[in-house]
Amino acid sequence: MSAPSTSLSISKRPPVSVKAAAVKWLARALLHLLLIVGSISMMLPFIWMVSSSLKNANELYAVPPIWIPQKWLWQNFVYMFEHAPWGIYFLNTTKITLIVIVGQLIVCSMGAYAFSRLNFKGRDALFFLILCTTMIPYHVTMIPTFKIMKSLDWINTHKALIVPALFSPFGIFLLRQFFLTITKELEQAAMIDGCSYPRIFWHVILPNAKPALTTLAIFIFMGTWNDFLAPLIYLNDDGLKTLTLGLASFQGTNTTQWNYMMAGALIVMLPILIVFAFAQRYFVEGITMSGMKE
Amino acid sequence: MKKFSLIAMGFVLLVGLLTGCGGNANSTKGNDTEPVNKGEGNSGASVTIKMAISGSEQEQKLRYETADLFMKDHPNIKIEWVDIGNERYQKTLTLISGGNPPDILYINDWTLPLATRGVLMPLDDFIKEDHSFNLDEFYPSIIDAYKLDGKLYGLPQDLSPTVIYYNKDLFDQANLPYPADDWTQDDFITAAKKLTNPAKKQYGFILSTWNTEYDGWMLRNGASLFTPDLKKSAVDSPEALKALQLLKQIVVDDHVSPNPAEIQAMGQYDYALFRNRQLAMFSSGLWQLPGFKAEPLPFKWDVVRMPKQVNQATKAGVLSWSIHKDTKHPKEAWEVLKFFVGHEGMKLVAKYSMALPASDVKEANQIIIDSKFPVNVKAFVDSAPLVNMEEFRHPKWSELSVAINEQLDRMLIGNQSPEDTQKNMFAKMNEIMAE
Amino acid sequence: MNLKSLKIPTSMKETLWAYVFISPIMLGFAVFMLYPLSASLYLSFTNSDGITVAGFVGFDNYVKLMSDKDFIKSLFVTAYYTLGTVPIGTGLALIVAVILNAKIRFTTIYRSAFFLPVITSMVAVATVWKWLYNTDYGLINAFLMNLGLYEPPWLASDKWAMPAIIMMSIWKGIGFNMVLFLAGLQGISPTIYEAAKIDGANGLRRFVHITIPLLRNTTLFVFIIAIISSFQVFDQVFIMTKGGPAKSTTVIIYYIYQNAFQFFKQGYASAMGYVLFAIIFVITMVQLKISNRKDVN
Repeated sequence: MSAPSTSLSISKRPPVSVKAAAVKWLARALLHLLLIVGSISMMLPFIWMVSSSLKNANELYAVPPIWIPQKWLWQNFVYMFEHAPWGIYFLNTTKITLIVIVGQLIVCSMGAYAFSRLNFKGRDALFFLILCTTMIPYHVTMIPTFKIMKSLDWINTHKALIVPALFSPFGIFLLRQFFLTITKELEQAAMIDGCSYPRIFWHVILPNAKPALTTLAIFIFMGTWNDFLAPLIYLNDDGLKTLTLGLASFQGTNTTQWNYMMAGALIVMLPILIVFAFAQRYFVEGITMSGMKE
Repeated sequence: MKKFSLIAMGFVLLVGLLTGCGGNANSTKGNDTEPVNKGEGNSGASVTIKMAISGSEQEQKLRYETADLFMKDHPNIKIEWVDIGNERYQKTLTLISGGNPPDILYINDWTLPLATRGVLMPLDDFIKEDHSFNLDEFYPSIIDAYKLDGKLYGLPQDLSPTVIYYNKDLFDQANLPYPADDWTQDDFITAAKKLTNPAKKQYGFILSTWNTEYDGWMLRNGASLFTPDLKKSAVDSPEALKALQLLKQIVVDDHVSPNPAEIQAMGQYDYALFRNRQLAMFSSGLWQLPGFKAEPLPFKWDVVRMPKQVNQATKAGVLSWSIHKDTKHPKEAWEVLKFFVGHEGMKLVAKYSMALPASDVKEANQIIIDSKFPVNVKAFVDSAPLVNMEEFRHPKWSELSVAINEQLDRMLIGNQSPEDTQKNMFAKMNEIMAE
Repeated sequence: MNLKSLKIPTSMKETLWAYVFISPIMLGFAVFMLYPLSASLYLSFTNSDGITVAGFVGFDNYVKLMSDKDFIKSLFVTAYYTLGTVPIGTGLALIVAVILNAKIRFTTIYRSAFFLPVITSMVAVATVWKWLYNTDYGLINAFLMNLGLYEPPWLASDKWAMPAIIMMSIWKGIGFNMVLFLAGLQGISPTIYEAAKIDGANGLRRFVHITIPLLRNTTLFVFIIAIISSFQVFDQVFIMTKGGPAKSTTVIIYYIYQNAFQFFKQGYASAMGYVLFAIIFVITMVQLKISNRKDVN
C-alpha cells in the first residue's frame, strides 16, 4: 500500500525546487551529524575497553588517559586464553542461553496470549500477581530460592539456572503489551473461519509479533549471557562455569590486572554484539518516519 | 511448513540439551553425596571434603597445588572445591542457610560472627590430641582474633601485613633520605609533605580506604576500638582523638592524601596512582608484588615498615579456614586443614609470594626474604608479629565498620571536627554493640 | 439446560484454553516464586539472622524501619534517582527510536552504537565516566569552562554525586528502551502515516497524534519496567561511588544487601524488601489505572 500512497503524496506537491532540495539535504546532514556525535559518545567506553585490553600496565593507568597504546599487546588476549578454559565456559553459557531463549519464548508467548487476548475469570489479577514478583528485591528471596534448588537436588547443575529463568514476568509483560496492539479484526476473521485458539495463537498472533519476539529474544540472550549472581550462587565446579563466572576469577582479592580483565570482558561481550547486529534484520526497515524530514 | 519444522528442531534441540544437562548433574551428584565412592583403584573407602575457595585464578592455583600435594599423601581423602567467588559473604551465607555448606569454610573476618551463631566447630580438641600440630608457631595476636570464649574457631593460612611502598625516584627528587624501618610518624609526615606537589597532581601518601587501615594509625598511637571485654567502644580515649587528629591533618589540613570522595571520584586505585608517579607512598600488603613483578614499575621503589609512634603495629590481609560443625568427616576435615596451615602448605604460600605464611615457619619465611623482591621485603616478615586484627574479635564488626566509616568520611571530607567525629563514633558504636 | 448438544459454550471454551495457555507460567510461579515470596514475607516478621532459628517478632521490624534514619534516607535517595532517570531516560529513548526507525542510512550502525552501552561492562563504563567527570582533566568540566559556566565537583561532592550517576544511568539505559520502542513502532501500520501525510499533518503533528497514542502499550511497559528497575538500582551506584560521599548515593537495595548479607539481619532486610514492594506496587497500580482510564475514553 505504501508505494502508491507515496507517489500520491508527491504528486500532490509542487515540483521540488532546488532550494527545497538543498534544505532537505542540509537537514539530513545535520541529523547524521547529531547521530554520529551521539553514537561516538555511546561507543567511548567500548573503545576504551578495546584500547585497555591492548595496553601494558603503565599505559593503562596514565593520566590523562592514553587512548592508543604505543604497542598493541595482543598477548593480553593470549594470556587470557591460556589461563582459563574459555571453550568450556563458552559451551556452557551457549547451552544455557539457547535453552532459556527457546523455553522462555514458548512459556511467555503462551501466557501473554491468554493474558492479552482471551477473557477468563481472574485474568487481570493473575497477571498482576505475576508482575508483582518483579517488585521484590531478589536479595530477600535468594536464600528461600536456594532451598528449593537444594530440595530438587539441583545445586551445582545448570538446571538451577535454566528452569527458573523460563518463567519470566518481564517476558510475559513485554509480550502481553505487544499482543494487545494487534488488531482484533485478524483474530475475528480467523474465528469465523473456525480456527481454534491454538491455531489463532500460532497463525495470527505469533507471526504478527515478530518484532516483539525478537526484542524479547535479544533481552533474554543478554540477560542470560551476562547473568552473574545465579551462576555464582549455584555453581561450584570449574567445568560447569559460565563466561561471566570465569571472567570474575581474574579479579583478585585485593588487586586486579585490568588490561587482562578488559580483554576477558571483550571476549564475553562480543557474541552479544554480534547477535544484536544480526537480530536487527527482524526490525523491518522502518517506514514510519520516512517523511518526517521532508 | 518451514516455520513448523524450525520449531520442531528447536524442541529436539531443547530436549537433547536438557538431557545432556541431566547427565552433568548426575556425575557431580555421585561425587558430593555419599562418601562410598567406587574408589578408582584406591584401597579403602574414600572421603570427599568440600572446601571453599575464592580469589583470583593465581590464588586458586596455589590452593589447587596444595590440595594435589595433600591428596598424594592421603589417597583416601578427596578435596572438592566450592568456588565462592568474590561475593563471598553472599554465597557463604546462602550455602549455610540453604543447608549446603562446605566442610571447610573460607571466612577470614567472618569467623567470629559465624562462631557466635554456632556454625563452626571448635578446633581445640583436634589440636590437643594431635601432637604433629604446633599452635605455638602461629602469631598469638592473630590466633587470639579467632577465639570466642576461649575456644579457637579458625586457623590462618595467608598473612599479608601492610607496609609502606615508596617511590625512590621521588624521594631523590625531593632530596629526602630513604625511610628506614625504624622511622617515626613525624618522619613520615615530613616526608609526605615534601613529596606532595599539587601542581604536578602528586600526592605524598594515600590514606587507604581498604579494610581498616585507619585502625592501624589508631593502634600505633595507642588507641584501640574496643574495651578489652569487647562490651563497649574505646574510641573515647585521648589517644583515639590524637589519632583522629592525625588522620585529619594528613587528609584535610596538609592534604598530602586525597580524601575518600576524591579517591572514589578519581577512579584510580592506589597501585595505579603509584605506578603513574602521582603517589610517592602508599600502604598495602604483599598482594602488589605479583603485579609489580609481571609488569615492572618504571622507577626505583622499595618497601618500609609502617612508621613508629607508641608502637609499630600494623593491619593485614588474612586468609583463614574453619570447619563447619555439621561436617560428616571431622577427622578428615582436620587433616586437610592441618595440611594447608602446616609446613608444607606454608612453603607453597611462600613460593607464590602473594602473602606471607601465617605462621612463624622459618624455612617458609626465608623463601620470601631470599626473593629480595623488593630489596627490603624483610619488612613484611618483621611486621608479621605486630599485626593486630582487633576488629575480627567483634561479632558485629561488619555493622560497626559501616558506622565508623561514615563518621570518618565526614571528617576526612572536611565536614566534621575530630572531636565531633570521636563523639559520634563512640555513640554509634555503643548503640550497635548494645543491641 | 440443553443436554442434547454437548457443545461447550464459547466462553467456557475460551476460559479452558486460557488456563491451558497460562498453565506453564503459573506452574513456574507456584514452584519457584510462591515459596520464596511467602518465606521472605514470613521472615520480615521475625528476627532471623539467616542462620539460627528465628523468633517471631510481629511488626517490630516494620516499626523499627519507620524510625531508621538510614532507611528513610535511602528511600529518598532512591526516589531522587527514579525521578531523575525515568522521565528523561524514556523520553530520550523514544526520540532516538523514532529517528532510528526512519528511512535513513546507516540505521543499523547507529542502533548498534546506541545499544552498546547496555552491554558494555559496568566497570568500563564507570571508569570512562569517572574520567568525563574528573574535575582536573574531565571533558564535561572542560566544556562547561569554555562556556563560562559553573563547574560542579561531581562525584567528589555529596550534592553532585547523584546527578552525576543519574546522567550516566540515562546514557546507559537509552539503548535498552530504544529497542523496546523500536519494536513498538514496528506495530504501527505505515498506511496510517501516509493517510495523515495526505491530510497535511507535519512531522511533529504525526508524532503527537499518531506515534504517541499508538505506542501507548509500549510506553506503559517501558515506564513500569523502568520504575521497577530504578527503584532496585544497585550496580552503577556500587561501582561509581560505593554509596558515598557521606551516604548521599546509598540507595535502598544497597542497604538491603548490607543488612541481609553483612549485618546478619535477614528479617529486617526482608521487611525493607516488602516496604519497597509496597511502594512499587502502589506506583504500578496507579500507572495501570491511569492507562485503563484512557482505554475507556
